[in-house]
Amino acid sequence: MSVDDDIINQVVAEQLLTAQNWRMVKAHDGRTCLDMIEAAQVLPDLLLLDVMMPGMSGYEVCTRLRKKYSSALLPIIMVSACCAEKDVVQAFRSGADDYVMKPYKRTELTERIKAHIRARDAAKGFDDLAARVLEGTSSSVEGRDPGHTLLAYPACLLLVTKLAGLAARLH
Amino acid sequence: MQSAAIAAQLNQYVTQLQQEGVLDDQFQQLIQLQDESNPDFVAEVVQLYVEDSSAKIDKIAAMLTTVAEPDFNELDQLVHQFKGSSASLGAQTIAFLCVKLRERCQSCCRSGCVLLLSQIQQAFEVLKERLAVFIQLEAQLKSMAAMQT
Repeated sequence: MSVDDDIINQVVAEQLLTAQNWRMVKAHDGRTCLDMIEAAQVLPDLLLLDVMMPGMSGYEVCTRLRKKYSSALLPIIMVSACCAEKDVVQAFRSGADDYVMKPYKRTELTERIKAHIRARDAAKGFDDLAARVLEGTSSSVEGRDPGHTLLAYPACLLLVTKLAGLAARLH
Repeated sequence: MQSAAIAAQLNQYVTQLQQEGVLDDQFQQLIQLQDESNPDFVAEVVQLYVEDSSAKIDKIAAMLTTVAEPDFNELDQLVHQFKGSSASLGAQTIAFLCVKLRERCQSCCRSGCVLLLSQIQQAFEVLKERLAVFIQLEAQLKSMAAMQT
């Protein structure tokens, strides 16, 4: 999803992304973006979020989204023509995963998007695996040989801890 | 052979516009984005930009001339948007002038804004003419290519 009040930027972004066989959904302001995400059955794979927009700024949109969705669920790349340190810092403090300058550089933008989607998929994979391990551990405790359980439990706990640590670093 | 000559002429023209400072490398990026699935991409973006920018320039002019006390914050946001779309097209001169206009807006200098708007209007007319030539050359090239296939 691309959120930008400028139509030229949206058209260029769409051509750039469709060239990579990605489908782009557009929103022209922050409120529309939040409403679309709320109404959607499936979250977008990634959000390109302009900073300066009328009404709600990109910072505010990002802050609100992060209250509900972690980076593992919704990577957010903030985009802006401003490159001052304070703007970049504010973007990361509001929960952005990356900050890209406009006008877009085709190769740079597409590689950044791919990197964030890889990271998101890896984090999801760890979360799923950790959930399955914990599920397996609790079913062991319920019905099986206590000796087995005593041996299996610390090993599972160690594995889950390591996975959680790795997932946290990716987040 | 003729289409090769027109292609070369088109490339040379874009290079010339870059040397003049009218366009920058971003316009080349747009040309590279154009493909078989969207063969009119550049022409569409140019048309969209010209229409959108004309409306923005008219709005900026109205805000500076018809209102007793311009809302410089609102003006600044509009100019920021204009700067952004100009940069996305590669309209280097206009993007630069928009930066200067934003500085005048932020210092609430009406006379400075009016002067810069005049420069933007002149630069925009030049850009429109240059882009019209580019679109014409591109159309000729496509027509040649269609005849050969």
